[in-house]
Amino acid sequence: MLEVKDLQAAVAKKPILKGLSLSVKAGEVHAIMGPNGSGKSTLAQVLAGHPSYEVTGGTVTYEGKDLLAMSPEDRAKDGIFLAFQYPVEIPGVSNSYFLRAGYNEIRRHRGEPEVDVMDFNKLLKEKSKVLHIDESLLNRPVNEGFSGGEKKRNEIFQLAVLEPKLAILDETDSGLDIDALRAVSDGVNRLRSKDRAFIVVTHYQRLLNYIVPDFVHVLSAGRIVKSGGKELALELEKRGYDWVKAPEAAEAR
Amino acid sequence: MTTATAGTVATGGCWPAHLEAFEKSAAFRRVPWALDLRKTGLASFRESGFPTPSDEEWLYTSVEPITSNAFRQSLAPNVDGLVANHAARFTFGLKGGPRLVLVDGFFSRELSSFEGLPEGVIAGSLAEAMESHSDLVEPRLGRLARPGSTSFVSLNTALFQDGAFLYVPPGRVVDAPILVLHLSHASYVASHPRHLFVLGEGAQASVVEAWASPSCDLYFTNAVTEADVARGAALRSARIEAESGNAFQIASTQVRVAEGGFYQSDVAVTGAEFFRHDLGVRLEGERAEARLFGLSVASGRQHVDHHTVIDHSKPNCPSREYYKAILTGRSRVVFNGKVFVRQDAQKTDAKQTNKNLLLSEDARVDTKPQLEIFADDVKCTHGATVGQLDEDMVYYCRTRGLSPEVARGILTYAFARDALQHFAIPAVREHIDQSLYQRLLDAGRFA
Repeated sequence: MLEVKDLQAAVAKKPILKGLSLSVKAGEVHAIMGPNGSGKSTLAQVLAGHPSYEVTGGTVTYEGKDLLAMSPEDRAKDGIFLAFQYPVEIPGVSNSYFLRAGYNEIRRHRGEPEVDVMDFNKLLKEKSKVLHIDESLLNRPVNEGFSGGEKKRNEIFQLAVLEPKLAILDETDSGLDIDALRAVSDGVNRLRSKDRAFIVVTHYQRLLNYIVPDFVHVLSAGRIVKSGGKELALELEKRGYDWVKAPEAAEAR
Repeated sequence: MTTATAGTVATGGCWPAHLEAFEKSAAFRRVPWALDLRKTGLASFRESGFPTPSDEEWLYTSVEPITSNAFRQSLAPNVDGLVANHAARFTFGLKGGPRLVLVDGFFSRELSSFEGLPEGVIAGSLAEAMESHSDLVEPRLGRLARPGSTSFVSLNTALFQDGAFLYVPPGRVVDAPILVLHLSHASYVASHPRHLFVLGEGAQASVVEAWASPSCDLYFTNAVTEADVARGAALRSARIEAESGNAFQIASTQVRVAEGGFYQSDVAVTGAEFFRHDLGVRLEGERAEARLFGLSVASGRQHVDHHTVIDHSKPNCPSREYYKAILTGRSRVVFNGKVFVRQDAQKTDAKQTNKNLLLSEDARVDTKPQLEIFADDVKCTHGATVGQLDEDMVYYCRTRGLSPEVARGILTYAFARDALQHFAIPAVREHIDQSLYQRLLDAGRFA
């Protein structure tokens, strides 16, 4: 599904990703772990198409297409979804309106008819029940005045409605208490399927107790320095990141 | 460019002739009690002339288009089939209900409707009311918008021929919003409509002042509205500027609110090439309240200038002011909001906010919020912002499948709605909401 080869990217001319390679197949859950500043969020944003991240080398192929040549909205319409670490507040635009606009763009792209307000609200209600989302959130402006937990839950709710093929979760666990973490993970687990892949970016192993990955990759200084199964996460939890760090990251200390 | 040098005043090409001709006409002296008022207007204007660019209140707005074009004085309304047709079509979301229609500065009885007005309410022509209800008109006309206060009020006082008059007796509540629709339909005509709204003690009414034109004529409207809100009365007003792209309008709205009274003004500007609005509200009794909202959507070469004054002279009065503008093309918007808190006005609670969204590099905003406080126990805040759309928001929308154009449309619409949601008259609010939605989203790119 996704083939990342020797990816290099910079933010404001500063190189962050320095030759990252990763292969993700449908149905798989990949965890990307690593210390602060290793490039985890950069990877997530580059895959989603953030205009401030400059790709300086390498290739990303998504379902046979050159992902890097696609606009963020075309990536979304083709099934890529990024759950933000810091979801953006949009005052004055209700959650339900916002989601319907995106949902219908995606349907149009697939050649399916648009869904009207009534049918869409029915769909939202169903999804909100399954994910235990408070219905009142639907009519509130997107993320405005939401608590940290509500924002993250809202991201997962959007994921559930938009039904992407590849979902990227950027530090979805940060700032969540244990109940919110459980609720968010629960939502993600319900959405796991053989057709859908996940890239779960996280600093802590904690999240991976709930969302159990098929693969764990350790990112250091913009490169994947170690890959393994879910037991690698536990080892990182015990031993920290120092033993796997790239030599240049260690020198920088 | 009209310039004034010491000892001379700029009164502009066509204007001295208008004044002279009208001064000699029967209309000028028709109502004996108003003659002195008119003469004062005439003398004041002859003395002051038009404002010049060095005038503090006109720093960002040049009246050159008004002084340089050769306008004709409107002597009779141009009521033809087109106007009649449009008078019925311009409803601004109001279904049925009372409507006072004016054409080129004159009240038109045949285009108006008085349905739904409770007994005792007087609604119609100001010119008629000056004769038939001088007891209501004389003590107020020219007392709120005083000749000599500005050049244009002076000019209007000298030259006005008609306008809308509304009187709601004490305790009466008019449920249906009253539409006061002014249509301009004559090329190169200058009209000076003058409205007077009087609410007795405890009376309530909603008035929608709408300005439109059925064709693309170039014309000038110099409008004055006076509103007198008595003790415990409530006036909810909306002003909709939806004139043709060739229209020039200068308007002054002057309001007095007595003890415990309530006044709300919602101003929506989407039309006219040139629009200047002076809005003054005097809170003259304790616990009088004013709420002023504004939303301007300017494109092309539109020029929109809001000058507002809220004058707190008594204790315990709250006022809220929230003006927003969206600019694209080479448009220009001016906001100058003054809040005075006089020495006696303790426990004043005043909040003023002006926010502007610039969607093009060639558009320009000049904003100047001003607080002048002479009392010591008050709560007053003010603030102004000028900004562009938040690119993080645009990106977030894009990651959910929306094109940048749609994302910007949604975000711009949301910016507008934030002001619009405060508008007091539901039908008007929904009407503007829908037309904005269409303009910003259905029509694709907002240009």
